[in-house]
Amino acid sequence: MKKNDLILIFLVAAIAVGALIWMQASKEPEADRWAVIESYGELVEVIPITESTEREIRIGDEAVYNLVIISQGEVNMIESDCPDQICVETKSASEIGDMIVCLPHQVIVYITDQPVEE
Amino acid sequence: MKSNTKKLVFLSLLVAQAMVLSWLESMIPFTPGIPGAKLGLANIVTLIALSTLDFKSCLTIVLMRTTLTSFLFGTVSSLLYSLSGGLLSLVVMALILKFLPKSFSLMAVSIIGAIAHNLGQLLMAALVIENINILYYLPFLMLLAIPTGLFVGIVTRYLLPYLKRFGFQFQ
Repeated sequence: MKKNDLILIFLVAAIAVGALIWMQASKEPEADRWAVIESYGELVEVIPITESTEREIRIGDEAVYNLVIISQGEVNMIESDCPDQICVETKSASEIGDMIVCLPHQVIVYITDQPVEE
Repeated sequence: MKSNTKKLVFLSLLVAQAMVLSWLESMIPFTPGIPGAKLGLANIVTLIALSTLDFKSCLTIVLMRTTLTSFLFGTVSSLLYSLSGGLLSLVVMALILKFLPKSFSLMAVSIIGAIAHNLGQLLMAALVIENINILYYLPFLMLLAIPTGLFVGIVTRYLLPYLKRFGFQFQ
């Protein structure tokens, strides 16, 4: 282990933590929120999120699917038949900028404060 | 001629080992819910190749292992991700070893390689899903790259002297 190595590790950690803090700070908790669902780069649905929104959205067809549930102000990918299941294991999205991605099915769900045109 | 055969055998062995390591890694339950997060054991092979072979052979190894691994255990889209990650990480690590050979140890090179791999995959993913916001995962992946990169670097450092003792040094 050289001195440069430690400097590098420290730099990497500092940049990463700095970016995380900056991302956290640039969130606006008071703003209105929308959940945007995209599949293959195409907009599927935009859903305004409130505490009382209860929705279940199925993306895909008989062969490949992702199941998204919006409940109590949180968006969660609860089911998918993708091989890696990373999207299902991702924690639920509730704040602006949060994102759930299913790369095998090219499905992306994210929360935004910008009204997206459907 | 003899040394050429030896090199060819060594190259094939490295490709085979990288494939086994990728397979082994898929058996280990390490899924923190972040796309692209993994141990990166195959990077051991890339690092060894960079320390013992010429760049062209390293490129061959990375291209062969990503293609073969994706065909055997993955999908067409996983080929895109491992190619973009594997190639970017190879090029970045090769540049460091060439131009700053004395500044960093293998551990640091391995960490930088891991981050380059993450960045390559995320950029490819951003292209595929047409949403640059996926780079949001990079800080998490960078933090993970420190322990995984260190581990890979340490393994490589202990393995290299044995390989060199048996004459596997073609630079």
